[in-house]
Amino acid sequence: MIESFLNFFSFSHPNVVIAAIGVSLIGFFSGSVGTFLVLDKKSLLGDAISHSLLPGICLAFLINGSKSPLLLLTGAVISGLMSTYFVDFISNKSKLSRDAALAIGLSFFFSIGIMLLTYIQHNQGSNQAGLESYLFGKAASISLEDTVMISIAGVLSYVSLLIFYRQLKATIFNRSFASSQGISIKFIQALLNACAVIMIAIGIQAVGVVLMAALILAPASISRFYSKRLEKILILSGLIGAFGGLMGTAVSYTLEGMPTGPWIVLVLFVMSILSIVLNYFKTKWQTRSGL
Amino acid sequence: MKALIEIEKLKVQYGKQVALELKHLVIPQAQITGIVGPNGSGKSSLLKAMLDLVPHSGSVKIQGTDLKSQKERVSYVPQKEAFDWNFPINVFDLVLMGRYGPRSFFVRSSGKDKAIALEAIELVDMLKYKDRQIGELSGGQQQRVLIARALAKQAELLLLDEPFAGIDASTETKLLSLFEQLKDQGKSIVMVHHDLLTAKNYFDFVVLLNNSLVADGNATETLSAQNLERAYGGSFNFTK
Repeated sequence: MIESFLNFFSFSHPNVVIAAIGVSLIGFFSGSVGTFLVLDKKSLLGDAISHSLLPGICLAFLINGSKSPLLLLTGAVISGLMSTYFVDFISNKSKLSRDAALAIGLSFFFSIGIMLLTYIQHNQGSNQAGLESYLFGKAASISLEDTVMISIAGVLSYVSLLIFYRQLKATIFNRSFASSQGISIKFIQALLNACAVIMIAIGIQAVGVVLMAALILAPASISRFYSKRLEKILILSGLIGAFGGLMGTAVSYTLEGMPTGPWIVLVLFVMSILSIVLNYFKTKWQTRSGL
Repeated sequence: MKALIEIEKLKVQYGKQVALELKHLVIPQAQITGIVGPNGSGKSSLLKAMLDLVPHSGSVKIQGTDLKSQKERVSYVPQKEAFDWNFPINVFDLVLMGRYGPRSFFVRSSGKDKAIALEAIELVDMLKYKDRQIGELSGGQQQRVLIARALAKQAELLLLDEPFAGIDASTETKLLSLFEQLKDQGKSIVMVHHDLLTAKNYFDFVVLLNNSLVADGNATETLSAQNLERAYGGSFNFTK
């Protein structure tokens, strides 16, 4: 087993290289966008978005009968954006708090997704095989075409976040202040939501809708232990996400039939625990030596 | 006194609750103006409505033009409690945000902006803390940093929401003399203030609110026992 695990890292098989690159890129981009969501105290939004992508994917498949990645991505992005508007609508028009609105949106969209997925599995024959991997993710299903699409969508979102980096930073730090500086809060908000939806949509193939939120949130939560500057946290989160993605893929290749998502999450979880412990001893040591 | 801000028929409403209703109010130029009144009397709402941060009706004009289209002319210091002090940012970067605007693109700020931020940090005497994470500062230091950020914008009008809340007396005195300096440079300062004992000495112009305008004008006349009674209710006796 260890041998086949190490074998993965020799990257001798082109399919392995493509999947490894694809999932690492997903980890990098998700970790970066996730940093803004975590600092904006919008962690739950990531979860709501990822669960709400499923109906879009299923509908795109039902309408077109093909599993073309671009088509499924489009469906996912549309239903993801719809869910963010749905959540905003509920929390603005009712007395419900935002977290309740998010939970409602998440479960509503996800249940429709599961209904559609079950329907497809029973009625669409062998054509639909593989669609269920969107639940928990399957790195092995990532093709060259997918990886190219991941790179394009990821780079585009990342660059747009960099272009508006300073306005984004001011907005998530304090909205009233940013608005008093003449920054358009609505635009920055919409940009961040759109980037989050796109990143999550390209990530679910590897990680699955159920666990995608972890890939968005965990890297930023880990890197906050190691730096107090947003710029460093941003880069570090990307690298941690990429590392988690790579390790998760390695395990899922080594152990036959293992879904990738849970393993990526497990790797990130172990890193979180280690960081918490390290930080605990660091603070203890610092107080003892009077620093 | 020359007028800087003119407010007409302003109404701020949260749901069915009217927080503030003003028929007419003029804020003078190159003066220190205090907005005074009991809790929930609409003091913060007045600042927020001026900046178009809360839904409101009516108009707020700065020398004849709508203030919301002239945001580069105003600096705003929200209440200290409105900030997440664990945010991963140091003093210098926070003050540098005062230079951000709708045309700030990409990551790096210009050398000129950095120099202005450093100057602002020096004005509030925080230079030796410029690399410190904002969560590691005392309450008074945090307030000074927020003010430095507003100064970095180099706007002619400064709006502050309770800048003296939770800070020590010596910082308060230093900040006040800084505001006096700014006034001498021709800048206009408007602040929400809740300490009636100091209000008379601090402000050239006072706006006394209780969900509507109770009185405005020079500090001594506006803060008369009679006016305070009208703003704070019958049992209030300030003169003793």
